[in-house]
Amino acid sequence: MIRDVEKPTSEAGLTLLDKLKLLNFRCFHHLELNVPEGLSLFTGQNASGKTTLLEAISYISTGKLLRSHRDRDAVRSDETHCEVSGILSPSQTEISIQIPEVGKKVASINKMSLPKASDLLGRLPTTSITAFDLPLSQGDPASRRMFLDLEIGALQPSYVHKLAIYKRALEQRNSLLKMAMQTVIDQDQFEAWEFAMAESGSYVRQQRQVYFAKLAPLASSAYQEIAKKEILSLFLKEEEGGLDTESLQQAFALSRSHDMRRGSTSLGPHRDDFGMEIDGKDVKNYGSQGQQRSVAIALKAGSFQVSRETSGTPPLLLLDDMLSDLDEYRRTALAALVINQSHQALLTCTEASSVSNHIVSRASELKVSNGEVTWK
Amino acid sequence: MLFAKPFAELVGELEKLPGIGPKSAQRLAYYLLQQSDGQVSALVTSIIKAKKDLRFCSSCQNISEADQCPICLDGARDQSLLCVVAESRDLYAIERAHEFKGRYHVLHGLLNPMEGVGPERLRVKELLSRLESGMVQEVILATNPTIEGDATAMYLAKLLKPLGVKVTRLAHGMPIGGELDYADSATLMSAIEYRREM
Ligand SMILES: Nc1ncnc2c1ncn2[C@@H]1O[C@H](COP(=O)(O)OP(=O)(O)OP(=O)(O)O)[C@@H](O)[C@H]1O
Ligand SMILES: [Mg+2]
Ligand SMILES: [Zn+2]
Repeated sequence: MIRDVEKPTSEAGLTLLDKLKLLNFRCFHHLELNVPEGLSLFTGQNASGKTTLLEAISYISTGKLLRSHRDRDAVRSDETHCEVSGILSPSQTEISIQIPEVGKKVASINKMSLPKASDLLGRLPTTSITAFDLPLSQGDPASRRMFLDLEIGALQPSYVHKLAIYKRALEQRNSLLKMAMQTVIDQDQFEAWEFAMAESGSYVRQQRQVYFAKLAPLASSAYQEIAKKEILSLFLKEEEGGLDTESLQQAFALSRSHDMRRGSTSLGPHRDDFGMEIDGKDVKNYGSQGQQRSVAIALKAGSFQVSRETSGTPPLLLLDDMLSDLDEYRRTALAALVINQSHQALLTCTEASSVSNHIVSRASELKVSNGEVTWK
Repeated sequence: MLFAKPFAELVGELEKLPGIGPKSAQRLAYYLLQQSDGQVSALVTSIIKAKKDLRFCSSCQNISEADQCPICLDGARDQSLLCVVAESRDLYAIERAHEFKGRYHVLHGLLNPMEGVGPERLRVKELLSRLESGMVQEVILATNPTIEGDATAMYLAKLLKPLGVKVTRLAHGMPIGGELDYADSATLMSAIEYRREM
């Protein structure tokens, strides 16, 4: 059994990031940074490490990198291992992820390692808005599912647990389907894995519904703020097999012979998706680049609000260079939506001149270059 | 680097052991070479002797010196109660509590299609044949509350119930003396799911 030093708390109030320490994380060698409260603006040339800083914070917040699925990509290319750690305030808890020379990444709290990196979720709630969000409105369903899963998991640790059960049971059923192509498998075996999938899958779908019901209106109104007249509608696509354990289990049983032919499971939470339409037109297939960008931002701004409403405090905001691509009107709208609502926000840009004066005047300015961060 | 052939062979054999990677295999091999001849023969003899003298108990399938193990031979044990565990170590864990007075059945694994383990690789047939006599009235499924443990229990329950025996599953929930504040969410969730009326 897992014993934790400290649980993520919703009512205990605001969590801020006090210090960030990097060791061999991407372009950085050694970095210790006192992260300012309130608004801070990181400026620096292209490839100076701005996004990397935000990625490091997001990494200890979610256990996942922003731009890659392979953890080892983040290890500085001339080094063998790396570490990111953060000291939270006011608790002074240290959360960290290490990528050792061999083996998988290890997440820890106050130097005590956790069973899984995803167990960090919820300790330091963050919302990142970066170019890596574009797949939300342009890419395949997997990126939208991962978005929902991380957001729900940060609010509810038990979701992460049920989702892990679902994924594992799904892998087992898929292996069984492949075995069934060669030999006869007794149906009771399928039933055992399908039961585990149905039970955990029904929980996952129900929680996604609850979360989505909060997200959709907030993301739509965020979109309206950003894009004036246009209306964004968001809806969960049909969840084949339904929401409750019995109907899902039945659906898995019925799809068995079909699934045996394709060698994998054709329905379930791992196939779900949500749709996005602007004025009735599908965003993915019809949206302009500006619209797609704004939808991705609106989804993230919506998740920021859900997190703020659910936990009572706003997440740490990581805004990567997104402002420079928006027109003045959209910038102001976004600032009102998220920046002005947060207690700690890190913004990046190549030149401070691309950011509106009223943001610059409030922000601590820091300069990123040659793997170092200096105060201006 | 090229190893001398006997050394490479030894490393190769050690690497086949569970939990031993190439590095540990090399370390063990170096260690063995530094031991005296007597020490090495003692190890080899004990492996061969264990392999020759030990077998699986013909009824519970636990490791045993004789055809039947002491637990199965113990007449004071309740024959109507059968506790099914995945591994021998689970049996010893329950024995240490001195609480259970029935008998055991060791499966030697759990269902795990990803690793190619189906019921035919477990001692399931042997379990079914033990129920034929009609002596057993209750089967306790004591596999761990993991995904594979639960699925195996579920699968066995499905096979056993039509035979008319009572099938039960170990309860899972809060550890005795544990504090709510410190329980992980998975444990708390199952404790709430399996709460009982007072
Ligand atoms: N594993 C790694 N090892 C070494 N360098 C890396 C590694 N991963 C990324 N980099 C480099 O780190 C540098 C900083 O990247 P980052 O994305 O943080 O830049 P940026 O300041 O956000 O630039 P831009 O303004 O273009 O977005 C890049 O040169 C990138 O190639
Ligand atoms: Mg960048
Ligand atoms: Zn025995």
